[in-house]
Amino acid sequence: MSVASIPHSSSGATTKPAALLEQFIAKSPYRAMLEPIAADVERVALHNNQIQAALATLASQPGFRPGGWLRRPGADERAVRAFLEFVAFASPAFLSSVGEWPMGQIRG
Amino acid sequence: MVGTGAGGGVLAYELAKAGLNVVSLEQGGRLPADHFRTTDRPGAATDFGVRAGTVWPSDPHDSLFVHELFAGADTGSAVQRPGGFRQYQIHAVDGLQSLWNGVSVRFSPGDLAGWPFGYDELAGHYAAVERRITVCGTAENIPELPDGDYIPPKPLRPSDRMIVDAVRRLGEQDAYAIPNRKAINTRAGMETSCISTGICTSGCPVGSVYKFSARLLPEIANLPNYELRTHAKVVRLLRDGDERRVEAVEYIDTRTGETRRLRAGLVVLAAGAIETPRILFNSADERDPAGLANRSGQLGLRLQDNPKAVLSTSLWKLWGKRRNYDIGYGDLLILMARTGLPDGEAFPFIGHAIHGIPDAPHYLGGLAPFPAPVKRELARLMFHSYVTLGLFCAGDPNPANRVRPGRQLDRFGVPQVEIDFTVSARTRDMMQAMAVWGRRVLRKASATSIYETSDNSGTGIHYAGTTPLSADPAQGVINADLRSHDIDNLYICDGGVIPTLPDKHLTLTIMALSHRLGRHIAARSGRDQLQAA
Ligand SMILES: Cc1cc2nc3c(=O)[nH]c(=O)nc-3n(C[C@H](O)[C@H](O)[C@H](O)COP(=O)(O)OP(=O)(O)OC[C@H]3O[C@@H](n4cnc5c(N)ncnc54)[C@H](O)[C@@H]3O)c2cc1C
Ligand code: SF4
Repeated sequence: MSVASIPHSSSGATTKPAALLEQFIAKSPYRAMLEPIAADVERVALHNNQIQAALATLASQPGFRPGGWLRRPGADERAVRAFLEFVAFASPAFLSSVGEWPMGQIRG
Repeated sequence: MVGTGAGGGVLAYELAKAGLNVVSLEQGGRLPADHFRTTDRPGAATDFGVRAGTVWPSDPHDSLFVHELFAGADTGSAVQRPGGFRQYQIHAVDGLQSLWNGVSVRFSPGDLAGWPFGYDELAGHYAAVERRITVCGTAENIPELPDGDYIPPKPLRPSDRMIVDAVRRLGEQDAYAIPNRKAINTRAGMETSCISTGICTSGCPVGSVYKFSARLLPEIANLPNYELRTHAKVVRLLRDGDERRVEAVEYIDTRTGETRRLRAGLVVLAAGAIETPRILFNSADERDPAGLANRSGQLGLRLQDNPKAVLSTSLWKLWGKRRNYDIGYGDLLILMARTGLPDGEAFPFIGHAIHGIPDAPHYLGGLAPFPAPVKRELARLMFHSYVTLGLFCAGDPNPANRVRPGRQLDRFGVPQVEIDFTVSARTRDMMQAMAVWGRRVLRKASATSIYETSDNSGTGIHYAGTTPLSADPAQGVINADLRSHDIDNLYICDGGVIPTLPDKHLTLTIMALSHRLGRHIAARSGRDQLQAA
C-alpha cells in the first residue's frame, strides 16, 4: 500500500498525527522500505504509547514539519525517527535482502 | 489449588489423575490455543516487533520485558516503586510459563544443602517430570549439573560451535558449553513439534514449550473430579474454630466483582513467590495478626532472584554469512563455569548462549553513529552474526530483602505487598566477575564491540525464598512435605518454597516438588479414607 492510501478521517482530511507520519515517512532515508507498508506503519505507530503521544504533541505545534535529517531534532521527533528506522529494518524489504522473508517458512 | 503456573499445573494434574476432587482457582483467563500462532506471533511477525509499551531509545536487553501479558502496577501483587524491585507476573492460566524460555536443569546435591531432604529424594520426581513435559538435552556426566531423562536436542549451529571452541580454549577445568536442556518437543512429525522460530520467550506458536494448558490440562479438563475456575482471584484463607485448619478460600470473581467462598478439605497455594505471601499476609486475623502460617516470622523474608550479566556482540567471523542451518530455539547452549571475587572466593554460575534471527532489530543502537546508507549495509553484513550470553549466579538470601504487608490497594481493592530489596556489594562483584568471564569467551569467539548490562532488580524472573522449606518450624514456613508448620491442611508449592536459590534455573525443581507433593497428598488422602472407613 502506498502512503497516498493511508486511511482518511470522515471529514476527508487526514487525521493530524497520521498526516504527520506520512510526512515523516516521505522525508525518511528509509522511505523505499516504508512506503509499501505505510498503512501498517501508521496502525502500529498509533498503537504504540510513546509514538502516538509524540505524533500528537508534534501535530499540535503550529507549523511543525519534520525537518531534514541534518537538523537537530527534539526528543519527540527523535523518537518518531527511531521508530521508523526500527520498522524499516523489520520490514519485508529488508528481511528479504538478508534471506529471512517470508518469516516462518524458512526458519527451520 | 490456587494458581496454574509451574507449581499449580503439575500438581493439579497429579491430584486429578489420582482421583481426588480438585478445583484450580486461577486469577486470570485462558489464552486461546492459537494465541501465539495468530494474534501475537513471535519476533517481527506481529507489528514489526513493536508493542504498545516499546520505547525509543531503549535497552536492547530489556525488550523481553515489554509484553502485554505482564501484569500492570494496578493488578500486580506488590506496589511498584521507581528504582525498586521489578516484579513480573502473568495473570493467566499457565502463569509465567506462558512466556518462559523452558530451560530445565536439575539442582545438584550441593544446591540442596540445608534442605530437609537430599537429592536422592528428588531424583525420581525430576525424572518423572522430565518425561511428562519432555526435556531435550544430552547426558554430560557433570557432577554440578546432574543428567536427566532427555530427548535429543536440535543440532548446534556455527555460532554455537564457535562458543564451544572459545570456552574450551579458556582451558578452565570447570567451564562447560553443552547442549541446552529445554522443555521443548524436538521430535518431528507431531502437532507440538518445535518449528524453530528461534525464540521461545515470545510465546510458543505450537505448544512445543511445556505449559500446563498445552500439555497436561487437556488430559484432565474433562475429568468429572477436576474443575478449572478462571477469573477467580484468591484474596485470603479463612479458618473455622480450629486454629490449625483452613476452612475456605475467599476469592473475587474478576468479571463480576463478586466475592465468593469455596470450602476445601485441603488448600494448596501455588500463586508464585510474591503473591502467595501476599495471600497469607492478607489472611491475618486476631489469632495470627502477622499473617497466616507465619508464627515463625519467616514469611516473606529472603526474596531472591538470580543476579545476571548479559553480553551481546557481533562475531566478525560470521559477517556476510547467509543462514543455511536450522535456527532451532535460539539458545542451543548452556554455559557453566566458576569464577572468583576480588577477595579470592570462587562461585559457580550458569547461563546460555543465544543466537536468534534479529528480525526485530534491537541491534540498531549499536549502529547509531553511522549514516543511514552505511547502517543498511552494515546491518546486512552483520545480520547473522549476533550472539548474546546471559549468565546467572546464586540469589542472595538476605532476610532484609523481603515481601511485607502493605497498605496500597490494587484494582480489586485488595492490599498489595511492599518489597524491600537492595543489591549487596558482593552481588555486584559477582555480576561484574561473570561479565569479565563472558567477555573473555566472546573475545575468543571473534567478538567486535560488546554491549553489556547486569541486573538484580527482579529481571531474572526466578523468584524464590519467601515461604521457605525447613525441617525447623522456627526457620521456615513449610516442612519437608511442603505443609505449613502452623496449619495442617495448607500446603505451598511455587518458587517461594525454595529456601536458597542456587545459580541454576529453578522451575524444573518447582515442578519436581509439585510431583512429589502430588504423590504425598494422594497417599495422605488414601490413608485418611482408610482411617475413615
Ligand atoms: C520470559 C521468561 C523466561 C523464563 N525462562 C525460564 C527458564 O528458561 N527456566 C526456568 O527455570 N524459569 C524460567 N522463567 C521463570 C519461570 O517461568 C517461573 O520460575 C515459574 O513459572 C514460576 O512458577 P510459579 O508456579 O512459582 O509461579 P507463576 O508461574 O507466577 O504462577 C502463579 C499462578 O498463580 C496465579 N495467581 C496469582 N495470584 C493469584 C490469586 N490471587 N488467585 C488465583 N490465582 C492467582 C497466576 O495467574 C499464575 O497462574 C522464565 C520466566 C519468564 C517470564
Ligand atoms: S523455537 Fe520451537 S519451542 Fe521455541 S517458541 Fe519457537 S516453535 Fe516453540
